[in-house]
Amino acid sequence: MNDDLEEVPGSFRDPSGFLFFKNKKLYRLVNKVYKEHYDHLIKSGLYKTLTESNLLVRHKEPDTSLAKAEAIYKVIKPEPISFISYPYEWCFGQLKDAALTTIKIQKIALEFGMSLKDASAYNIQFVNGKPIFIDTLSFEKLKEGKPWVAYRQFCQHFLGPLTLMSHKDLRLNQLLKTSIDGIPLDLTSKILPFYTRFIPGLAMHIHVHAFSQKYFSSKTVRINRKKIRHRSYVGLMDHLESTIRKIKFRLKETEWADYYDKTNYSPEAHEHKKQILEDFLSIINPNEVWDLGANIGIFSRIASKKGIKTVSFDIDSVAVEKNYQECIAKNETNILPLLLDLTNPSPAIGWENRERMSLIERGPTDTVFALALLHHLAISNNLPLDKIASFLKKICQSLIIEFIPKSDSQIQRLLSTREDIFSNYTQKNFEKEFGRCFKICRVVKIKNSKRILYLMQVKDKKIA
Amino acid sequence: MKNATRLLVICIILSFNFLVFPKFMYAYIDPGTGSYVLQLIIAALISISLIIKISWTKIKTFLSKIFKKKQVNER
Repeated sequence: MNDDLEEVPGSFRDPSGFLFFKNKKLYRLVNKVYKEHYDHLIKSGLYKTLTESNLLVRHKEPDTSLAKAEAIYKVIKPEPISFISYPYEWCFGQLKDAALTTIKIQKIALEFGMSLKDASAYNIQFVNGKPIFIDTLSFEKLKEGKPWVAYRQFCQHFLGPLTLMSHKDLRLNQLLKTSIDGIPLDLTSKILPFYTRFIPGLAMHIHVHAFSQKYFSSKTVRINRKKIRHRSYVGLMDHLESTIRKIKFRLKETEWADYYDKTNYSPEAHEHKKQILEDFLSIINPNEVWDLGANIGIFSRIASKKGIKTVSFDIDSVAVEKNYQECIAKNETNILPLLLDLTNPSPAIGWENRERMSLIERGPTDTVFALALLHHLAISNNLPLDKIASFLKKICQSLIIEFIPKSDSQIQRLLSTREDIFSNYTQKNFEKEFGRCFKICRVVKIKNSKRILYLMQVKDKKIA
Repeated sequence: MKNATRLLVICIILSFNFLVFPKFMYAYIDPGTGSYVLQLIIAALISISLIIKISWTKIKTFLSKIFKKKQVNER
């Protein structure tokens, strides 16, 4: 292979091939060891069926000189994904839809004599609002009589986290950050309430599964003699699917989910804020927006409705869930709600800290919205204004930010239980600190409110 | 069928042992074998449940035929 190729660090585990960039374009290399499976995927019609149903990412087989090395069978060019997200950034509904998509693909693959050899949640991405499988090399020819090789991975990546989120706490999906190959089943079993041992699907696929892993861990089993019938194999997939479907999102209203009902915006101020955003967007005309602290995505939709790809981040699981359910209900394709704690954004994890990218590595984006966010960072989290400005500079080219003065009732509420040590939190200081990183292009006061919206651009970068 | 019954008995023993003496471990030597064996057990259970389902449907059809015949004779 050429030296100017840049291998994608997250794809090295599979001997069938890997992803790489050449001239900023993404390619997937298919090794000769995968030839038989790749040809079956294409010739059996499985690829066509899955891509026509938008379940598998499409690819082209470009006429390229890249595939000349002896071990290489083909180089394919998959359709690019605009924003890569990870399971620990998904809400319950997204993880459940990703799980059901994986099972659906597996069931279709079985009809074509193939099976998924991986059931990793990282093989799913959200494209145009829907989950899609992105690893073309995860399909292998079905080995008759053999159980599903990815069963454990499916339980660790999907079933376990969903059950923990439903039966214990929505925040437990964050365990996926510390366990890159899914939450170990013994840990899931240990955390889950005792009553889940009497729910047949969970008892079997999680509790007995965890026990069975321990029981057989030091035993030699002559597994080759034991076969599984195809009818039972399909039955197992049906059982996994029905178990996933029965796991429900249990809504608990949190501090933020009904945030928009509690703000001090009058209807007039709210409408004016939307209008200012529209005006700013028409000036900068971005291709992509990251809305930080988006809550249920009201202002994200100002951008997404203009056809701008919008990633709508919030720290609250319930707010992200509501945002996602609205996307599903209205069939919205330009908005991607995700979970994110800005004070501790998604880190780079995995082998050499390079398998999964940090938030900053996935940027910079064109435009960041930081609406009604600054006071939470500066006052609730004691973050100095210069640190906030330098972080935002790293992740965007232009910034739409709302300044909320101390006299605002929201800040007064924050300060009611703490000493006001934030003497630097003034509009003058804000403009001074942000002025070091950004050029302030527009300043508009929101009608019937004390709040001010700024349009800024990173210094040395031009906007229209 | 003999194999399936044996697997069912193992599964019941495993489940009983698990429910009565829940134990936890902190490291796996090989979690794959347990997942593999469990799938065989679940597959056997699914086969058995399918057999029972089919047999039950047959019994129901048989009984309903007899019942219908009796009703016709009574008329």
